[in-house]
Amino acid sequence: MVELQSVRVTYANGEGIDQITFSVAPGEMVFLVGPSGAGKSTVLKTIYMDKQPAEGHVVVGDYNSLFIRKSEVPFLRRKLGIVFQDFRLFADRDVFDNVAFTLEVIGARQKEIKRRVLRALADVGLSHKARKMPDELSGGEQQRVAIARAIVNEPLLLLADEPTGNLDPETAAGIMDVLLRINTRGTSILMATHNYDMVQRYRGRIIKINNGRLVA
Amino acid sequence: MNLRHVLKETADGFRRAWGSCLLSILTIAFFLSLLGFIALVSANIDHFKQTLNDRLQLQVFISGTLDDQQIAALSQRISRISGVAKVSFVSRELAAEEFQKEFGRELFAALEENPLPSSFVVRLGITGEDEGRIKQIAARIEEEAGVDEVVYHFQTLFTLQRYARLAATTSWILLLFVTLGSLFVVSNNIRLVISARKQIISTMRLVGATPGFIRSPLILEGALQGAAGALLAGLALYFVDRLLAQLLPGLLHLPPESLIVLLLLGCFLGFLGSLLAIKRYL
Repeated sequence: MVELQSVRVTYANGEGIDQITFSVAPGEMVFLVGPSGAGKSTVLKTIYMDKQPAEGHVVVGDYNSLFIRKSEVPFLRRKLGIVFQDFRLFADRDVFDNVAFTLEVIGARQKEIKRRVLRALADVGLSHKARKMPDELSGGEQQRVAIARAIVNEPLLLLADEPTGNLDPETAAGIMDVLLRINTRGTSILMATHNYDMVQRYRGRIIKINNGRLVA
Repeated sequence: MNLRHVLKETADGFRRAWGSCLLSILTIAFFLSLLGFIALVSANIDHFKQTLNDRLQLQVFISGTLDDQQIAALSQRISRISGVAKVSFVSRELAAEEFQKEFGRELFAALEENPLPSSFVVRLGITGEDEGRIKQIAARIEEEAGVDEVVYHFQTLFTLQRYARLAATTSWILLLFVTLGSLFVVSNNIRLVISARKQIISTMRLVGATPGFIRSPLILEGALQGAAGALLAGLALYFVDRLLAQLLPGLLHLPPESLIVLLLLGCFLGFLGSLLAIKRYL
């Protein structure tokens, strides 16, 4: 479903990733673990095609980084859900509208949007806060909104870039529970994190990365 | 394309940068009013010029020694000169009659004999555009044997020509300024909106928004700013037009279709301004 083959990306300062090869099967939970600056975010960027590999290729569903046109990138991203450490919610929209936005982008009907948003909010346990603004929520709740926004369109793969990085251990455990529940229902998840100790407590395949290369 | 989203985002753009948005609208309104006013002045000058053109004629005084045959031959020669449309003979007697009609019999009766010479009234087949050409024709007629003097009173027309040319040049220069100024203010406003929404736009891209989805509210905002500016300019011009009509009756008015042109011009300038900002900053 998602496959990276000998991927190399180099930044102007010489950093980047090299010889990255792995795949994520449907329904799989994969942790990409490594210290800060190891290249985890760059790997995710190649998957949502914000970065083009200088060598190798990335396949996501029907899209291949070697052949994808710039105009097709938005349609590829609609097949992915992306969650960031800093949540990236729209501060001027309430919880419902933040989650609904993903569906507005694809031109879904209002009735459909309402049904799917309410279900996604129920999945992350925030149905009762649908009309709250982001600044009225705790960090953990904001991250749950971001997860709801990422899953509302039923993606092939959920990419989570340090989703617990800004949260205390207890809240982080709550977020992990939400992610694992989503995975149990069949959504593949690739989660980048520096917290090796934490991921060891959960089921899932662990891929280690350091200095831009995969390590055993 | 989600119309609800486009309208919502456009309204949001106005709300976020309402100060610079208002400035854009007022600037466009000012520029377009100025342009409309110059167009109104130009139209009136053209109209006045046309009226004078219709009366474009030379008076050719001829020697009193010419007999009828020589007068007919001279008339023929003048008719053949390029640029001359019609030659009419005004005899001494007819000239005296005209004089008496205009200045009264008493004045004429005081004279011992009719001092007025015979003349030709020469209508020109050209417009008053070419001052040099008119002078050339007058000089050519003056060369004919039997012609004493050629008189013409085109000074008003020539002065008007100069004003008309000045008005035309000014409107072109102004149109250039209107275009550049409007493009600058609209694109600057859209740049501010883009800058304020940078994070949101980046997230939009990540959830799969197409460039059209992100750009369309910005383009609509620019076009609406242009339209609002044009409407204000139209309103201002309407009142100026009404005021001038009261002060100077007989002036030409702005035709209603010119307001449509103004509106289209405003929309186009706003559209182009936002397109420039999007190309550069998004």
